[in-house]
Amino acid sequence: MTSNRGQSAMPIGRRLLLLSVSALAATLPMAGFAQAATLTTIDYATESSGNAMMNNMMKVCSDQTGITIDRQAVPYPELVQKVLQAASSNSLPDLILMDNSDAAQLADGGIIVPITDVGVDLTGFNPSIIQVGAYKGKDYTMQAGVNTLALWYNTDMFKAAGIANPPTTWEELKADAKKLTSKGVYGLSFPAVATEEGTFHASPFIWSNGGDFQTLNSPQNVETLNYIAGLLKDGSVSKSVVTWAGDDANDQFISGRAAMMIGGSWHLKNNEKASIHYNIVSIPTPKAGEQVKVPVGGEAWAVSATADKGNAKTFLDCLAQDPVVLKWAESGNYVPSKASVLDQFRKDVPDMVPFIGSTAGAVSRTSVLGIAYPKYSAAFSAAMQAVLLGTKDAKAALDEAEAAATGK
Amino acid sequence: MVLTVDTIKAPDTTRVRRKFNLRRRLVPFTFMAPAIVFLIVMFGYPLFYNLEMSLQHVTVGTFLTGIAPFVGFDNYTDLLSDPLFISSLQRTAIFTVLSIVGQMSIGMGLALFFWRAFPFSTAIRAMMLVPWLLPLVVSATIFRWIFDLDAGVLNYLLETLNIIQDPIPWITSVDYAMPATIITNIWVGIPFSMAVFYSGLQSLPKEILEAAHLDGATSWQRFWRVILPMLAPLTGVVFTLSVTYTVKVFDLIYILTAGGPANATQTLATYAYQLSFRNLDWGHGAAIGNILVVISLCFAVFYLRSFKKSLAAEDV
Repeated sequence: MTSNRGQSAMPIGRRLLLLSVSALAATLPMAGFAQAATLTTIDYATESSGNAMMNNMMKVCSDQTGITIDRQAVPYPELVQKVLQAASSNSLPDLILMDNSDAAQLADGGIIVPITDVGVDLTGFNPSIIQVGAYKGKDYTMQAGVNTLALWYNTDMFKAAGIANPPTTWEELKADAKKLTSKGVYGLSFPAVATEEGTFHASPFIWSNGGDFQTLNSPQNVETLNYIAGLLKDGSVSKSVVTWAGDDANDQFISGRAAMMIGGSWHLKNNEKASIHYNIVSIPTPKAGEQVKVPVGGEAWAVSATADKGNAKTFLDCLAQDPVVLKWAESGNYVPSKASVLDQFRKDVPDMVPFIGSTAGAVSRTSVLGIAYPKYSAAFSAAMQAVLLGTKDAKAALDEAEAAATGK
Repeated sequence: MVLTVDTIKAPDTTRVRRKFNLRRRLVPFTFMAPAIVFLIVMFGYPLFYNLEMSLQHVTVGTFLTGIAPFVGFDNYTDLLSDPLFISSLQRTAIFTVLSIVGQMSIGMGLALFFWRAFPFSTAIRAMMLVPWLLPLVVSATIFRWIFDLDAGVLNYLLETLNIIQDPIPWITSVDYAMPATIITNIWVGIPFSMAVFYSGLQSLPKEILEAAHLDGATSWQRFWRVILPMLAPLTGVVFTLSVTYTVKVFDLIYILTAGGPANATQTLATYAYQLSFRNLDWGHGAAIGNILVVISLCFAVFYLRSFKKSLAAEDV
């Protein structure tokens, strides 16, 4: 695979010649196209608008570099399985666009290689976003944009309840949520389903209070769960949150059954069409004036172990250019990872501004726990559900979760 | 295999009988060969692979390198000291027993109900099959909505009828989630047992039932002493198939509650999924998979033996 590096800049005539020559070597399965500057990619943008956006972005860099992209999209829950399947049959895609939290697993298995080994230039990228895809001290991903969580609130309901400003502290959030609750309307909605989504949406509360997922039963975490459980006890949050995924919580918000929501920037596209009036601010912190800590999601590029590194670098370098990063962020409602394009981005997509401030406090879910993270996350979400429903005391539930996660 | 007059007239009947028996035993195997080959390739291999995986430490890297250290029965012994595995096993047992009791008794009741034809009974019976025809994903999603705490139709109905004062947290409470899941699974399973029992009832010899009736047996006695014993082999079939289906129910639970809240509906199937596909811990996941296979196998053996017995009984 190394002999044809840098084919991208070749004139079309020579590429055709090469194509016909390599076609003669038909005994090599798939080699003909792969060598003549084709990259296979896999992503999870199966939903129609995301799919169209991906095709557009791929085309931009395909036109610019001359590398043909053979793109495959699978639903998110299947992505890692699909990649592993491909690994076991020696047909790994060259580039993998995955959720940054999957990077640790794939890096640990040697499925993806450090992005720095490939030589992709990451200067100008926000370091707190780069570290999200780090594993054992090495950076594995190039993430052009991230999405994150914020507090969405229904402005009409705030006006009706006589609340002038959105909450900025936990205390205000609790008081406002209670005030906004009436028959058929809950003050706040968020997903707390027993999957990664539940942990993800609780993490701003865990981290902003000084806790983490490495030690599940820390006093800070006990305090955090007691705080969230208090919202349910007040009646400001429906007990149904334990069955809600992100979209369910959002449905409650846009249908006017919840006055506030902890939700991600990915809801913007859908919610712009909603009939309610809303605004978005940073998630409240325990005390006033603190930087909120948030998880970041969104798609990160990684290069597979079997990829043609030269072509991969060429293509990712194209995606890392300022105008491409900006376009990517604007069409996918991501916060761009490069400070150099933020000014333009603020002008173009004012709705995203509250999310920009939050990403300064981006925390990686997986860079410390690595491959053990899913186990901790599962144990945590089970504990959180028990505490939210009032069946277990926070300390006891988290002690149990810690024991389950550490296997002691 | 044609019985000629000669064989029948043959003097040494025992020898012929033995030979005949041998042929009778061998011939089916040649007919079965294609099926056996198919079974080995399509079912035997995955089973073997799963068994192999459960004895190894499988990591993400295994898929690339093929290297997975052999760990013997460590994965199984780990499970025995895992409280979540033990409680999942218990929940699987409760889920299976109650689901099957519900499915079979209601299925039988409905079969008896439709047995005596009444106007539109065929049409209604056909409609009863709908739960069976719906994809589980659809049924489970509908039930999620039915059970919803605030906007669910079930709570609305019960409140309107003044049966309850406060909404029941069907799938949002650790106490109600399992009953709600079982109710859903019973609803899904009723059509199957009803259809099988109904066809069984149709084939019952009318004269025996009439004789019982004439002898003055009450309808209760006719059911317990005549109908049920005659349906025994069929009951065995329904029971075994229901058990093997129920112990491994995954999609229904996963959509309804995702194993929650707080693991309240975590069964072996959902836990195996969580281990394999969320924690990427395939060794332990495969071990649970095999335990499920063994449980199903026990019931299958039980079924085959009772089936054989009933065949032998018919031979006599």
